[in-house]
Amino acid sequence: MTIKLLLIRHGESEDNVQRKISGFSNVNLTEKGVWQAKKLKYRLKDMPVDIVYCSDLKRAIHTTNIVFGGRGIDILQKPNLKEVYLGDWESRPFEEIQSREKDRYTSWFENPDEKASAPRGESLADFNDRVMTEVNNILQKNNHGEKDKTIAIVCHGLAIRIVLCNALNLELKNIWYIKQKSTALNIIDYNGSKRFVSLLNDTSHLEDWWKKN
Amino acid sequence: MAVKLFLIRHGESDGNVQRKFSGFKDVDLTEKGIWQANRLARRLEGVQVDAVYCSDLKRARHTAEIIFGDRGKDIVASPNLREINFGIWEGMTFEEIKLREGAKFTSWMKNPDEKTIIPQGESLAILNERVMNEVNRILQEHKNEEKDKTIAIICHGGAIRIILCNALNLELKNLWFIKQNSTALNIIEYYDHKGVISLLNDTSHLEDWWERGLKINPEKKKDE
Repeated sequence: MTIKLLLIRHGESEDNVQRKISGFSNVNLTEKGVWQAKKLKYRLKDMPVDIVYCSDLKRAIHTTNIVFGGRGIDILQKPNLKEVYLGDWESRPFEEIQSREKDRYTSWFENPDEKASAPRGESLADFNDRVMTEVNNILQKNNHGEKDKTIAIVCHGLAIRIVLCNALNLELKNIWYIKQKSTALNIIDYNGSKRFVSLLNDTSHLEDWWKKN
Repeated sequence: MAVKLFLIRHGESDGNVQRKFSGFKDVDLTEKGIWQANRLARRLEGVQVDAVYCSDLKRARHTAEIIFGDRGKDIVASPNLREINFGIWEGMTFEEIKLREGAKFTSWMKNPDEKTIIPQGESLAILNERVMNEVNRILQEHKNEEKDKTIAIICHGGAIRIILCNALNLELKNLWFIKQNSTALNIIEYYDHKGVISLLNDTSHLEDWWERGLKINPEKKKDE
C-alpha cells in the first residue's frame, strides 16, 4: 500500500502581513489568508482524503476548517505540529531583530546549524525531533491494511520544510533553500521503502492562468 | 539582481511509453507529450521570459518549440543540457537491464554512487559537471544587470534533478527522492549565489480541477 501525504501551509496570517516573527504566537488568518484557503478548498474538492491532522494554532485550524471542513472526515489537532518556538523573538518585527541582533538573526535565518535557535527558543534539532516524531507516528498509524491512503497535514512553513528535508535526506542547515508560500501544497508519496517528493510549494490555485481560458 | 530559472521537463516520449531508458537516444514526443506541452504553453502564455535554452535532443527541442516557439525569441539548443548518457543501457527496459546487470543496477537506482560510470556512458558526477557548467555559464551571462530576469531551460528528468540538487545542496545520491513528471515545471530563484527552490514538479496544467470546476459550476467563478 502507498501513503500520499499532503503537506499544506496555513493561509496568510496577521503577523505575515505585519512582517512579524511568529512561532507559537497564536495569530489569526487575514482576509486574504481566508481567501487563499477557499481557493485551495476549491482545488482539492474532488481529491479524496482519508484523515486530516493539523497544528493546534489558530491559523492552522482555521485553514483546515476551510479546506476540509464539511467533508465528514476526522480532523485531529496535534500540539506537536506547532511551528518552531522562537523564544524572545515571538511577535517582534523581522527588521528590528535583523538590525539589533544581526549575528543571531543570520545564524538562524541564513546560516543555521542544528543547534541554532532564537534566544530562549527551540533549536532546529529539537524542533526536528518534535515534528518528525509526530509525523512518523501519523504515518505508522495509517500504515496498515491493504488500502492506499491519502493523509493531509496542515501546519507551518518551517515544520513543513523539516518534513521535506527528512524526505529528501537533506541536512537541516539547508532548510532555507526551500520556499513555502501561504497555502502552499506539497506532496510526499510513500511506497514501501521508497519515497518521493512529488510536489513542492505549489500555489497554482492562487494563480489566474487557468481562469483566462 | 535576482534570476528566476524555470526548469521544464520535456513531454512524454516514445521511450517513456515503452519504458525504455533513453538518455542520449534521440526519441520523439508522443501525441500525449505534444498535448502536455500545449497545456503548459497555455499556462505560461502570460509569463515573460528573457531567454530560452534547451537540450539539443528532439524531445526537448520539440517541447521548447511548442511552449516558446511563437515568442520571436531564439531558443538556444545545447548538447550540454542532454540527459545522462545511459551507454549500453540505452534503449533497454528496466527489466532487461536488471536481468543483465543484476544487483549492480538495483543499487544504482536505489542508492546511486555518483562515481559509478555506466559502461560506454556517464556517471552522475560526469552528468553533474557537464550540466552545471552550462547552467552556471547561463546564469553568469544573465546576472550583473539592472533588472530581474526570467530564464527557461527545457531539458530532462535526470538533468533537472541535478540542478535542483545543486540549489538545495543535496548530495547527488539522493536524486531519486525527487520526482519529475512529463512537462513538470520547477522554479529556482537565485539571489546572488544562493538558489531557493520555489516550485518543484508542478504539473497542475495537466490536471482538471480548474477546468472541471469552471465547466460544471460556472457560478463558482463569481464567488472567488
